[in-house]
Parts: sequence; structure tokens; C-alpha cells
Amino acid sequence: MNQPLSNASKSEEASEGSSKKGDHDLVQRVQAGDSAAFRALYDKYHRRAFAVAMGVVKNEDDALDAVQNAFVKVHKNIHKFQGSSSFYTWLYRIVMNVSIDHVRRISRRKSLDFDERTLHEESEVAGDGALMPHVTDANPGKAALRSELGKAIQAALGELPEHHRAVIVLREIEGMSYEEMAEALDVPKGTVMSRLFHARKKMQAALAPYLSGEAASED
Amino acid sequence: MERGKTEDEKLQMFFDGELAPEEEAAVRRSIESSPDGTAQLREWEQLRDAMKTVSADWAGELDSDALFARIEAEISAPVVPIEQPKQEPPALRVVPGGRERRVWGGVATGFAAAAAIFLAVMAWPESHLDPAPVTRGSEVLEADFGSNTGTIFEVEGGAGESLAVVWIDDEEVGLP
Repeated sequence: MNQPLSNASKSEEASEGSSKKGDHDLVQRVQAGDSAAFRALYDKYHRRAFAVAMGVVKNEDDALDAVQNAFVKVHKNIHKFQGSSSFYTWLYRIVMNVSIDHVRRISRRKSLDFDERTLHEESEVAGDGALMPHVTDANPGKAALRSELGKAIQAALGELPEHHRAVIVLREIEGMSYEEMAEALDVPKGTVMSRLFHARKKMQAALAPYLSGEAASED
Repeated sequence: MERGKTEDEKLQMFFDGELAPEEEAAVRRSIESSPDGTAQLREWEQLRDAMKTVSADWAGELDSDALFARIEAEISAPVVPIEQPKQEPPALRVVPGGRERRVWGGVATGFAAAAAIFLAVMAWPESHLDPAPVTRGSEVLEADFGSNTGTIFEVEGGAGESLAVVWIDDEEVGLP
């Protein structure tokens, strides 16, 4: 092995420390009624929260709803936030819970209204990807490849149980540590590791045609 | 973790940068001579890259201001208390003869109690009364309670004991 294949998270730790302090200050300002501070927290985290929500729910509209609900909950409950955990762990916990609730509601509705929902979902999966944010890439071949990979990843995530989906999204998309995931998901660290291992295994199997070649690292 | 880590766990922790420096160095040395370990790390890395790439696209065209406007609108919306539907008191109506029915109902209950006592006295002690052989669960007595008629059954209880069940007809004599 001529290059270290690994541990990206350590390089991010240094900047996280100052980021946490910044968050703490912003949270205190929001608690004091400063709406600009709330906007600052939103600006800092909403894209990442959206990516996490997208990993759990199946389409952009649902992910937008989830992020909206999550930030509304943050605003309503920020006075309860004591700062014993980091703000972003708390935020992702809310995003994850809201997203999982959303998925459960959808599946309940699905069982009640099977036919209509099936038609809708088929158009989402097999359609032209209208619900996926478009990749504005100058290279149409590359864009198509990424779009295909995006669909494959979403389909693979959709096949995972909720608790597996949550850990792999928080780890691979959000780059959370085991400790942070354990806190955000309220499970022991060992459980996080085990779930992550199984989630990766399933994702590898589902994405084998894409991962065996160089598709993933094309850009 | 309390127990010893498995090789898979160590490898995954190494990949995720979760090992202590000395453990990390040891795993690094061991995977240098392990094609399987190297292949596993490469696959995980490809999966991570793919997910990062795709997730970056997900948020790529997000209209941040529009989303914030939605959040602000929801936050600043006046809280409208949800009106509970008024609990209407139960509609009461005067039932012709209602009072009489209640009186007769009480009388019927009295008869039932009396019949139960009567049957209990008849059944205990059994040896003194020398009852005629009866089939359990059969009708044993037709009773006339004056304004009500009824039937007394003997049935077998859960512990094999003899129980009397008094069935009083709803039809009250003298009432419409």
C-alpha cells in the first residue's frame, strides 16, 4: 500500500473546536433573542442538514420540509439547549428524528393509499430525476454518471433499515465521529460501530457495479 | 469498548480515524501486508467519496433564502389556540314511564337476589336436602316473581362448584 487509505476525520478536528465555540456564542445570542444569530446558525448548517435529510427521506421536497421543521424546532426549543453537547450534534439529532418521522408517516400513508403513492414513487425513481437537484456539469457524460450514481445511492439508502441509514449518512456525508453519532442517535458507541459496519456492507453490495470501477472517483 | 476489538472493528476504526495513535500504527503495519484489508479500505473509501460527491449535488441548488423565508414564516406565525369542540351536555329527554321502569328494575333486582339466596340455602348443605339428581347446566326451576317471570339454572363453576344462575325475563308484567 503506497498511500494511507484512511482517517480523514482527524484533519477536521482542529477547526471543529473553534467552530463549536462559535456555535456556543451564536446559541447564546439566539437564546437572548438575536434573530441575526439564528440566521447565522442556519447559514452555517442548513446545507449539511439538507444533505443529511436527503439521505434519509426520498426526495428534495420532503428533505426541505424536514429541514424547515428541524430549524423551527431548534428555534422553539433553543432555550432548553444547555450546551452539554455541541449544537450541531443537537441539530442533527433533530434533523434525523424529523426525517425518520417523515419517512414513517409516508410509509403509513403509503399503506393507506397504495395505488396513488406507487404511481408517484415510480415517477420519482424511474423518471427523469426531476426531484433530484440537477447537476450542472459542463461534461454531459460525467453529469449523467453522477446523476446515475446519485440515484443508485438513494435507492441503496432506501433499502437500508432506518438505523443503518442514519449512521451511514451521519458518518459518510456529515463526517461525524462515533462519539457524536452515539450522542445524536442516543445509542451506545458500540452500537454505532456495529450499525455502521453493516450499513457499509449493504451499501457496498448494492453499489458494487459503481464502486468496482472508477466511477466514484471520476471527478 | 470493554471487550477486545475484532479485526473488522479495528479496520473500520482505523478507516474512520477512531483509533489511538499506537493502535493506529499497529493496524497500519498489519494492513500493509494484507491485500484483503487494503481492498476493504479502498472499497470503503470509494463508497465515502461517492456519497460525499452525491450529497454535495443534493444541496447544490438549494434556494437557501426561500427555505429561510419558510422557516421565518412558520416561526413568526401567530400561535392560534386550537379550539376544542364544545362538549355538549348529553341530551336528556323525559321518557314516558321512565321512573316506573326504574322502580320495576329495582324490584326485579330484589327478586333476583332473593332467588339467589333461596337457591344457596337449598344447595347447602347438600347432604341434608337430598336433592333430586339434575344435569349440570340444565334448567332446574321455573320461577314466578309476581310481576316478573324467570328461570333458575344450575351450572358448574370453574372449580366444579354448583352455581345458580337466575334469569329474569325482561318483559315485566303489567308494564307496556
